[in-house]
Amino acid sequence: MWGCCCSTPADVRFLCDAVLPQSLSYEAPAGMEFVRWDGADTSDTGLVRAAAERGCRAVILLGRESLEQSDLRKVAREAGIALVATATESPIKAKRNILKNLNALRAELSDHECLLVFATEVRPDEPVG
Amino acid sequence: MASVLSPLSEHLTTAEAECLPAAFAGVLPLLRKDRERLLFASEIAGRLDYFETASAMGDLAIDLGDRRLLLEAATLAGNPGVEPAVRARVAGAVGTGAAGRIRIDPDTVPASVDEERLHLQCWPGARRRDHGFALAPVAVLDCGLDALAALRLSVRLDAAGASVRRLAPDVEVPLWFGPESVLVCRPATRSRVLSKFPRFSEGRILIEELLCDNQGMESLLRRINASLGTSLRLRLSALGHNIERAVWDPEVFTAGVYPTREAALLAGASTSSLNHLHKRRLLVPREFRRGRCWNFRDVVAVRTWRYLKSQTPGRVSSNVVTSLAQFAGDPEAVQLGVTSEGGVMVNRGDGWVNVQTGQSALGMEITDIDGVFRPFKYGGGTVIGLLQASANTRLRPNVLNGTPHLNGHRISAKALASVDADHRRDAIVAAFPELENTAFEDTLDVGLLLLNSR
Repeated sequence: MWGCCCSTPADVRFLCDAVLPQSLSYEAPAGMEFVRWDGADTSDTGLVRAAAERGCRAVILLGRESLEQSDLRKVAREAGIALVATATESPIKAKRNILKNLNALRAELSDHECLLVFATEVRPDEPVG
Repeated sequence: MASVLSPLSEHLTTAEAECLPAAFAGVLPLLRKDRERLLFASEIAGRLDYFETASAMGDLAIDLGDRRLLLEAATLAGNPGVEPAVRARVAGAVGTGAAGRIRIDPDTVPASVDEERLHLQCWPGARRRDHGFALAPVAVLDCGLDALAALRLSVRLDAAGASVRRLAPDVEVPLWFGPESVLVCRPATRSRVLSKFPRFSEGRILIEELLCDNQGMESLLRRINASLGTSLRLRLSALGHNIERAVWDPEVFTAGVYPTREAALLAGASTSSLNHLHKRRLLVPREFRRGRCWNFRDVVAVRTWRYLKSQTPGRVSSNVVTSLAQFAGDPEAVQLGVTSEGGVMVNRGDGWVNVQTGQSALGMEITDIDGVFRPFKYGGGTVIGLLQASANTRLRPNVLNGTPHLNGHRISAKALASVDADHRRDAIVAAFPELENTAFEDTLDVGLLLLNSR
């Protein structure tokens, strides 16, 4: 069963890291759900595993360095969770950029496991080397 | 119990902690008409082994005819720090019942399985490895240690499932020292204990100057745990996920993603120093789209070199950078150290061993990495603490890519500073409502430091 009364089975659910503003979770459009992490300072891989337990499609993290962790990519791949990171490290700008690029985010998620959200676009992020 | 004791211990001074047993003894009589609170306070006193309360507790138990309170007092009266007259009074009230006698007198012979279990719990020096009971490990703390640090350690030990005992100076050493006991003490107490129990393992005696900070506590708890051996361990998971894994656990030690400027700030070095080490191939960072990125191990390697230089008047070999940067971590290590020649040493609970050669360290001067993690002075400035940059700021290499964050929250120091650099609390609470009643100003300052290092 779905955990939230306002969601439908068609929703794409994201687990947003706690470092993203709380208000992001109120501004999800129809068909998308943002669940903000409300637990303690768990590890990054723990967050990905929590996303899987909550039936999320992806985890949204702050800052592109998040995607440079090879272990995190591996755990996410095994858990079937996509990683989305914002290019900016400012939580306020990150929220704005995510909300501006929701359609692109949803579209890219069907083809890619790691995405980077910029101010005006969403790009797949492949590991270097 | 831990939820009550932890906040209490975090807000006391050392002087207040020294007075706490007497304060408990003074408060108990005031609770005589409130049995629930009286028993609760007695239980806390019992768990912390505040034997100073035995007299007040015993008198109350006798006056009130309260059997449960009397047994708690009897447990405390077994501590040799209690005056003989008090012990005799409690023993008289207990009478011939084994449940009370066993608590006070180790020579009481148990007559049933339950009594044997109680005897071994009260007098762990009588335990053998094959006793067959599930008993709590025992941590004996020297009363001569810093009172506040000892209180904080006691609270954590209690939460982790250990039975805490306090050994007063100049008293007879009791039957506490068996295969499931650990002693944390000053050197003089070690001699006292070993003269009475010569077969008590040196490996379970930790000579410590206790430190009050979390890092020191966590390190000591891991060492206590390691000294207990594999059969009986503390429940470190009850103290939070951070303490379960040391930072030199391979998955943690090699984690973290630090851009050069952040790595330099955390290492206590300049960006040019890092780049120079890279140029000399002493460190090999990963190439990142926007530049190089370093991991926690690299930061520790450089920081250790800096630290050794700050502590040593002579030359410090840069081999330490290479050795640490190549060290992959050790899941069994409870302590990590380095020599000024660049050797990396681990202590797995049974002494220092060189990780490369496997040889024991004899007569070598070893610097404990714990010291490297603390703030230190270098080059006219102070290098911020690595694992705890400020009171509320933590760094775990596997949390938020290893950037410093607000303790207990997945909110980085840099993010706090990005939301509002002007210390407007409202702006930050608007973004993160869960912080309404949380102190984060010091973490915000660390965030500003990190942002300004760019």
